[in-house]
Amino acid sequence: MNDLREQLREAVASAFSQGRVRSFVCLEKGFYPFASIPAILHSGSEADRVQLGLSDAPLLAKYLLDAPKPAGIVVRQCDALGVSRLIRDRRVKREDLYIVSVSCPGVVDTAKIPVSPYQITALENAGDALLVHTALGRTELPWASVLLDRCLSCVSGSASPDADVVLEGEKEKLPAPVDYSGIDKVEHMTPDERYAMWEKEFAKCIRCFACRNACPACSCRKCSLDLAEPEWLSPAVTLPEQFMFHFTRAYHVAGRCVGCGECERACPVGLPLMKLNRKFTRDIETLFGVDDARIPRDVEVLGTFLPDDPEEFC
Amino acid sequence: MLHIPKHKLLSLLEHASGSWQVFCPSRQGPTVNFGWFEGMVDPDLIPVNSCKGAFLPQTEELFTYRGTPETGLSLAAGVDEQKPVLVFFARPCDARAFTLLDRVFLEGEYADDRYKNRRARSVVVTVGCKSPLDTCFCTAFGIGPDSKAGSDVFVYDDGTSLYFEPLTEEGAGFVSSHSAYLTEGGTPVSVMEELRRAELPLAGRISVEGMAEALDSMFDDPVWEKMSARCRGCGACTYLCPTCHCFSVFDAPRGVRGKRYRSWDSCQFSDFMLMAGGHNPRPTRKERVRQRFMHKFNYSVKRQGDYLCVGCGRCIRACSVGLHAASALFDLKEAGRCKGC
Repeated sequence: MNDLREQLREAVASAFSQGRVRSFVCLEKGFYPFASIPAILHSGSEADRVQLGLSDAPLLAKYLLDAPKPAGIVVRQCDALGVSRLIRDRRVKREDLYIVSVSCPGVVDTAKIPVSPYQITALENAGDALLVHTALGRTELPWASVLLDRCLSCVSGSASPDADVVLEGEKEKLPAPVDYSGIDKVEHMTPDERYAMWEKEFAKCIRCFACRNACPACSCRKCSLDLAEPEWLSPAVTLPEQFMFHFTRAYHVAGRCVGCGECERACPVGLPLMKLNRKFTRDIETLFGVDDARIPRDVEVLGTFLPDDPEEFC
Repeated sequence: MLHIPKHKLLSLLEHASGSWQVFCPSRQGPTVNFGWFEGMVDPDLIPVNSCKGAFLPQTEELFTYRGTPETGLSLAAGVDEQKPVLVFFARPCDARAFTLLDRVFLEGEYADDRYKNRRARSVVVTVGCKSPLDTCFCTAFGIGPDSKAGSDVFVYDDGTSLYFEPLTEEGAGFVSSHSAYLTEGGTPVSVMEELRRAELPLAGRISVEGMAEALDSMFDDPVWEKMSARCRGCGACTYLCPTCHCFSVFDAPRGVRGKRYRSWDSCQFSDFMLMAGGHNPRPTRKERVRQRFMHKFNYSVKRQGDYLCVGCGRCIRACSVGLHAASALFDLKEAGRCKGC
């Protein structure tokens, strides 16, 4: 693990010294010692700040929008999808990026560790287990039980947008299929039950836009929902407006959602937003015969018109 | 002290909701949230959101209007609920935050009628924090798990019963009008002791001493650039904050009639300061993040005499990129120390 971090720091420092980048988007140590936060570096002398992000790593792709170009970025598979999304949405140009890909065994969600962060002295990846060291001793937790939700359906191995540098760590998590059981459950509800469920969820929404702002597929400089004129979304936070907001958001990213789940991770009140996103992803897979619709493609399923498309609505 | 078994609390609240609008925490799936009472209450967990919505609803209708050039304009004031507000199971940080909001909305040249109305007839029932979270640092602001500021009634929870200690006349009135549900006897001494001794591990890392003065000369410090680089520009921190209180006023016209509302707004939104004509005095995240923390730790001290933060830690839990009051205080202190070095 430490070796990989050292390699990463060297890669970042040399990207600056070779003049390949003006900025570097990466992770660094946050206020809580075991939680990583995003950082944007502006010189090679800052390379020491770079961390791999063993735990709580936010996704970084969207910081490329504002980072001075050419910009470097450290990506794991989930972030690689976001970068790929931004490139295909023409928000950033591949030639303006310097992509360092790191292998990732999954990212620990410290909220899933039943120990106060103040008691943790070290976290250690021991293959199938996470070792949590405290002053009182060592707790061993099954690796899969402490990972961020997004890691449980990792796209590992299939998505990297031709990285400039590939750094391999000790072990890569195997790709896991997306768990659609939650979607099945919602699909089997009656329309009334489904409406009641979303009504209850959206009533909790505080309209902070954390979901939108965290999303690599929501990359508009000016969101239509922020416009005062025309006013698509009223600033009045009422239930009908909440439905309007959430369905607009979900439909807008349909076909472009990379399944990273950062919207759900960012939501401060815990709305199950991936239930909407996954439903779209699965529909695209089954209706259009696409393999893993999370992966951005040159030909977009919902962004393409073919004259011989079957017109089933006629 | 008057007390009630925890399992009978619901019947007390159901009774209370006959003559009060009750704002209390309840379990909503994976989290506990404050909201208007709908037959559920959860006194155990610290809610994700604050209870400022009891007096400052996220959206409220100010008035409706109707008019044409022929008929002229007629206005009708928005409906103000007639029942007084009862906040149940505020936390000591939340209750203290109400006193800070009072300074903004009640003191000074203008008093806000709507806030004043709700607040004047309200009762705040606060529960002592037996299990502070890893993100709590209220003691940095002179608050603690047993602080009474801003409360009308203080509740001690010994696990099976809730003990009610009235602190104000209004609080005593509320308790006595619900005496049918309460039994006299006993003092929860061990709970009181527990609250006094409760330790907040985060508080030791945070100090606000001298922060307001230090910030006087830090407006142009490079630290703001560094801190704000990771901000995603959402409003989660401000909307969950018990002391943030900015709002915007807007119309919803529908033909010849319409409504005027006010809703929470956030200084972290890019269009918060956007003016007609397109000028934005806070064009980037740096200015917006700086505004948030300068307001909390400098401007408010000058204007109202106190920090506009109660160390509830909600922004710590809300922010997906670790930019919050605790990290800011830490980074600002470091930056202040390094000045000239």
